[in-house]
Amino acid sequence: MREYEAVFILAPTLDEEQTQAIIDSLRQAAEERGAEVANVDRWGRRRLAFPVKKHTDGQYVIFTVLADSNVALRELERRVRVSDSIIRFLAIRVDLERKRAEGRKKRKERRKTEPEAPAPAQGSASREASHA
Amino acid sequence: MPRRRRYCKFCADKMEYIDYKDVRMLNQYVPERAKISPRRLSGVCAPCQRKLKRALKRARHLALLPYVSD
Repeated sequence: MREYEAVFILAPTLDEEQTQAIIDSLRQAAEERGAEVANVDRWGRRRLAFPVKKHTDGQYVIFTVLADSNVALRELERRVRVSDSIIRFLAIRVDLERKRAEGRKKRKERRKTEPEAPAPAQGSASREASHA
Repeated sequence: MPRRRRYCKFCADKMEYIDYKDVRMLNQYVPERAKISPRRLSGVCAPCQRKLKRALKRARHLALLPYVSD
């Protein structure tokens, strides 16, 4: 199961109703393609660090999407490209970042739990072996 | 940035993931001109600097941080 975090920046010109309509349609689009939208986080209006498509403000909306494949995300991205109301989009795989962090932690643990056992001489021998 | 006794803040906090949404924290690593501060000044360790770089660039894409500023 993949976990995505999808951030949309919506145009500030939309009223509450239109904003909600867009959020609902995006959510529906994702769910129709077998994904689960586990959480929708609305940051509300926020000043942008630089103008994006002539807008100085944007409404940040963050989806947490659970899916088995990338079809739902592809659809979201397609809609972003088509829509004028969505001015920026970013999707990241949260589960991959987490897995990477865990892998590092595990390696660290292993180093901690089995120290000193291979003597330095042995260590260099195995290094040579791997070169051969 | 501290003058002496530099250490990697992320390692000290045992941070595994540097969040691109945490603008407050990221701001400490982009001085005036909004450039990413080098490790030599911020004291961040190499693995953390790579994660920090990712986070900063994501934040820039989302207009949370500027690409340039004067």
